[in-house]
Amino acid sequence: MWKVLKMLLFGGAPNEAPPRPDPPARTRAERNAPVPRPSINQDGANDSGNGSDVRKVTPAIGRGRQNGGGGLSTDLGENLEALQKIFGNSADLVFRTFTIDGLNLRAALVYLDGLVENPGVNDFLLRPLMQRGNQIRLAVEQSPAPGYPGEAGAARHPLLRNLQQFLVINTAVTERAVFSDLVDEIISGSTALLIDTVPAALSVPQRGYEERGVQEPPTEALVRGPRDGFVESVRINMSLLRRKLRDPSLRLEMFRVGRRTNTDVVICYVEDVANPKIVDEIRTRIKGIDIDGVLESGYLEQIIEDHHFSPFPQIQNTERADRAVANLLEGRVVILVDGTPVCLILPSVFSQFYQVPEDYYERFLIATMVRGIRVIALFFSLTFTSLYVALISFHSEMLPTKFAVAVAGGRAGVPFPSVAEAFFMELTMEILREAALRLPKAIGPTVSIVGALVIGEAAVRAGIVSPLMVIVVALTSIGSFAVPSYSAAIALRIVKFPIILAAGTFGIYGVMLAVIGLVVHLASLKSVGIPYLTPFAPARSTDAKDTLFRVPLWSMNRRPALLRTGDPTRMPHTTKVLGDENLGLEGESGPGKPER
Amino acid sequence: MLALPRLIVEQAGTGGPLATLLGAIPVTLAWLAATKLSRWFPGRSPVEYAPKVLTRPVGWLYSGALLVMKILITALAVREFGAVVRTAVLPSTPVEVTIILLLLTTAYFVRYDQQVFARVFEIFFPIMLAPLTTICLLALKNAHAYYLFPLLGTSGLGLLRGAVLATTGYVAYMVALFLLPSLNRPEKAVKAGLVGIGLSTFVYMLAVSATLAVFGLEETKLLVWPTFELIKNTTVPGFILERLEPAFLGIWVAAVFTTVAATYYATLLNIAQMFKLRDHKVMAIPLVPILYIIAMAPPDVHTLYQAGITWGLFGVTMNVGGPVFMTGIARLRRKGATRSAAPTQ
Amino acid sequence: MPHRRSRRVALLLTLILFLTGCWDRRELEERSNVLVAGVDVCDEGEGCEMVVTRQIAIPGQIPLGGERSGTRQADTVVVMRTPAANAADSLARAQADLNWKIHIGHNRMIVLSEAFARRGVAQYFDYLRRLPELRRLLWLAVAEGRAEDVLKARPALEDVPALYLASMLDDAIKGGRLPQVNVGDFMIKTSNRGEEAVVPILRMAGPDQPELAGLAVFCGSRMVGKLTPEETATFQELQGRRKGGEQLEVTLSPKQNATVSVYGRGAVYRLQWVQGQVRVQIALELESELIRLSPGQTGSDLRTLELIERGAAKMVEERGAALIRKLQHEFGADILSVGERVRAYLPGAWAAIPDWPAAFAGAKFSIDAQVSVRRTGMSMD
Repeated sequence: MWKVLKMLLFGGAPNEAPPRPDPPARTRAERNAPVPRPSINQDGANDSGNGSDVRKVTPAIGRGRQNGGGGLSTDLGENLEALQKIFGNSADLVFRTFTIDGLNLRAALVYLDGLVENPGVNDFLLRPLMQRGNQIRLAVEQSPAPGYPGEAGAARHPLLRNLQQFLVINTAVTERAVFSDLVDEIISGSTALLIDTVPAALSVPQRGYEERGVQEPPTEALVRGPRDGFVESVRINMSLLRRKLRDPSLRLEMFRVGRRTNTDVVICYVEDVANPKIVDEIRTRIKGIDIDGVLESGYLEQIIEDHHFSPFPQIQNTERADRAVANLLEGRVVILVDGTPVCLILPSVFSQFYQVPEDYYERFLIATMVRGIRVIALFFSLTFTSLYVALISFHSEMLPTKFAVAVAGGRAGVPFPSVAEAFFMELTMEILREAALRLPKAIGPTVSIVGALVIGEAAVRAGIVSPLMVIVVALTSIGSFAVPSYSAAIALRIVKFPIILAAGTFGIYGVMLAVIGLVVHLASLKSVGIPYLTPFAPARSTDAKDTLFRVPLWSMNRRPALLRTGDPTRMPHTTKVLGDENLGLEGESGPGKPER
Repeated sequence: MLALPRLIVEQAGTGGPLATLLGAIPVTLAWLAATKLSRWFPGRSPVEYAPKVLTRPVGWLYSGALLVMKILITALAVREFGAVVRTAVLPSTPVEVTIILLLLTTAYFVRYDQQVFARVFEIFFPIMLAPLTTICLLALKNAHAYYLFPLLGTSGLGLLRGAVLATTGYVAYMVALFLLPSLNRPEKAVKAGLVGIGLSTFVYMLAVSATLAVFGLEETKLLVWPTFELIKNTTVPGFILERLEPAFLGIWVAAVFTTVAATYYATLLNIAQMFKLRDHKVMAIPLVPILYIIAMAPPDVHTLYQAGITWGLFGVTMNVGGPVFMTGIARLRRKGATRSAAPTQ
Repeated sequence: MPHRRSRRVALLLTLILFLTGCWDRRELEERSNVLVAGVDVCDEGEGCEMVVTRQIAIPGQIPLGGERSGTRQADTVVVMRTPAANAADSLARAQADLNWKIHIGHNRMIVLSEAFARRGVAQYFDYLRRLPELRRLLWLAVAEGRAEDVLKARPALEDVPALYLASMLDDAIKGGRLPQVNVGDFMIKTSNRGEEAVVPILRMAGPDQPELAGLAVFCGSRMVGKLTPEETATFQELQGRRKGGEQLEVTLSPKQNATVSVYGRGAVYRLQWVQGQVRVQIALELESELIRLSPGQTGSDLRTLELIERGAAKMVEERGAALIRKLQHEFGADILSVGERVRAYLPGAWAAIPDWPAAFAGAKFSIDAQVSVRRTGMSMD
């Protein structure tokens, strides 16, 4: 009976695609999970239940194959030749032909060297097939086991099915019958097992490539806090999230973005916390991306953000896993992109740009004060120079008399108006900052410090700037470094310049108008439907608990209302633990008095 | 607001604060009437239900009058502000420039929709309120109690006249009428409005009282902008910054901005609804030159304030009398509520 | 989209405006900062009504951070003298002599000469009132003699003479020795019909040493008299403002006296309108500290203290009455703001009074002082 079936199937015309199963349901993020398929023949059918997260990707994503649309043939040689042609005789494409012990069938392993873990391939794939002849014969005689509903990647072809069931020792083995799918798998690091007379192949993920280890991200270092930052592999990143958020409702949906790069992009959210509208919107945006290649999360950020022309970032990014998880718990969506350790967090609002995770690890008084300093630094970096220019050029009566006269003396030798001075100095600081980024680590700090001092000093001596201006500009720049979010700091630095210009033309009136314009602009921004200035603008007292100051952890009972989460209560009641103070440990040393 | 204490005190004498309080009463009545009207015509603004209540031509006239009044208020507010800036802080800058800058910034702003509006106002609200209150309180250091008495002023008629003038100061509040149709929870409108009026009353009373208490009756009458002079008189202990006027002016810019933006926005809404335009943004820029011309019309400060008073009174009639009157008529003619057409918004 | 375009147009217009120029930009060093101004009577010929002297700061000569690099004090300010027909004229003439525009934003003080004050300062203050740059917190003083002498003083204790003068006045006010009188206060009191103004007097004790010497009493905008420092102290007491610890010699008996230092704690005025006459009862409350007791007395003896208290109270009352009589009959100036109180609390009476100075002169005052000795110093005896 089995042989009849085999003949029927084998007798089929070459290149005829056997009836395909539903695309395999996704398992949770394991390191060797199969990659999703853009299904050519079917359009969006739904996933099966029980939480497996199959999502149909529209053909817009991940269709980089120009050829290879056809199915595999039953002739091994033809298949290998086709693969060879698709990969264009690539130097790292390996064919390992062998004979399956016991069946006397020719087979071949195809993989890209450098992407697979060779010992694993040897042990788990080659060895059983080449040495366990008896087992193979036994296995082949069995009727193929029926698949379970929701089982991942059950092979259809009976031989492959039995091999999958009994011999191939690997956690996630799937069958591929179409070249484009198979090539996708090979490109992702799987090993393809092609067998003569079988018009399908098994894809066995046994990946092993060089990766950076998990370390603390240099740009987001904290004094206190975990040191695991994301790495370039999206699978490791997913595992980092899993380890911190051990809730089954954490959903990780993977997509392929970029025609040529086929980058894995993962949308992460907590199902009953995140607002489904937000998640849907984000999903739609990601699906709608049609681009050549995605090298970094920044590419995604720029395409899916709401307001492209605003200098202010509407999407937060971070390399820290704890920060990502904290945001997930609040109902936000995290986007991981393969190839970069920087993940995106949205929706983001303005108040997030001066908050760091450390605020939550320290006690609330300290956290509040430190955060206050940061907020002051933020305002400083934006307005201090312009206020100084306005005061000096227009409203000198605001300065104390003695001070004013003394400063006038300092400025007497300077030929330029304050505005020009300010511009010049700020520009210099920006150039210095940019240059310092590119200096080798060894010389970097020294040169920047010495450079700044020397240049400042020399400029004052030469009479180009007044000493007070140097101080003001230095303070402003340092203030901008205190802003934790790099993108926001840059935005502030940029916006600073028009405000200085406004100050130089109309004094404090100009500054106010510029600030008003800025506030109006900020108020009009939205990040995935959430107003940018929450919680200042749509003012909510619950959210105010965590903006300029930080109330004790045990009184932050509710999640931020701004995200309209599904589960608004973090904790049902305050959980401050009031321990028993009287343990009888005070008093003189010696045996403690017995408790009365 | 800067000149209001003088105007009121000129009429009401030391009864100024009381007059300010009394001036709030007509506005409160108007507000109650207006909210009632908007409940009878849910989802419609005054422009839209006026024709129904008052018959089409009269209603149209009313809307037109409202429109004219709003344009005037906007222009006058801008002009007053320009005068203050010019005199006190930027003497050499031509008034035109100051005004045009303010108009343009506001024009940029009003083109956004109501949500943005609300947010910006929410942000600026404490920024304006806190300094004003602080300054008034700081100035009390130099105040004398006997400058405030007799509390009722010396002539009842003067008190009433002062109250009427005070009402002109609240008139801009009726901009809120246009926001009523788009409220999420209309039943809270009444309370919210009353809170708003209460707060304005408090601030105005504080300003008038503080100026009176510090300067005394006669001097207040001589000062063009008494509240501003109050700043000049105030010192922050410690003398870190000595003269606070430019700082105050910065905050004042925000205050004027919100006022002008609000009336400007209401004007646009008025126009859009009267002429059935697609949205309110279209007329934003074209209005700028009109406003500018009107703003520059009064040749000097005194004419400005004369005009302000005249048009203010006109505004009071329209905005206060209007809703109250319309409530009465609507009830008589049995318009609105369950019998009116279903809201189309 | 039409929205975006119009928005950009608006933005562009705004930007263009910013480029058209800065009209008001005047750098700090591009101004001539006047620190003190003095006004004298002019006797230099026709058309000259006043001499305005100005002390102008020289930029850079006042070091920040207090290093003394050998700059002599005389170099920190320059004194300019401008005879003119009126205040505006003097400004114009002074400007002609200076390279940078005059800026009075940092003016700390105006000194009027006694002669000028007695002539009447109404016109000058009209000019001042219209000035937008005027700080109402400017100190005001009357100089015995010529104002320019005050301006030429270079006190050794302070780099900037203006600051010396200002801090001198400031300190006196804080200590309760002088009432606060700045230009704003002066204007207020002059405008109000129920009170008159006082101004501190400066006297030159030496070429570089100005000192405080009592108060000048104004009636309207003209100076009509002076109060000695002792009378100033009484004036302060009558206002309840005395914080300065003036010392009174109280005679207890022919051989025994005590010195107490007296601090005001409050004054309450009670007004009555009886048969067309204003009657004022002033209740003063004072604290005192015993400074010296002649031998033979015990400071802790309650009876002694009572005697001291009563003696001191009587002295206060007498001096107060004397001052008020002087004010009523010699000056006819109500510097105690009684008139304002009448206007406030007895509006009927105020309406019936045609001319307050006359009514003030005819008013009846009675003073009741309560002195309590709170402290006797470090000795219990």
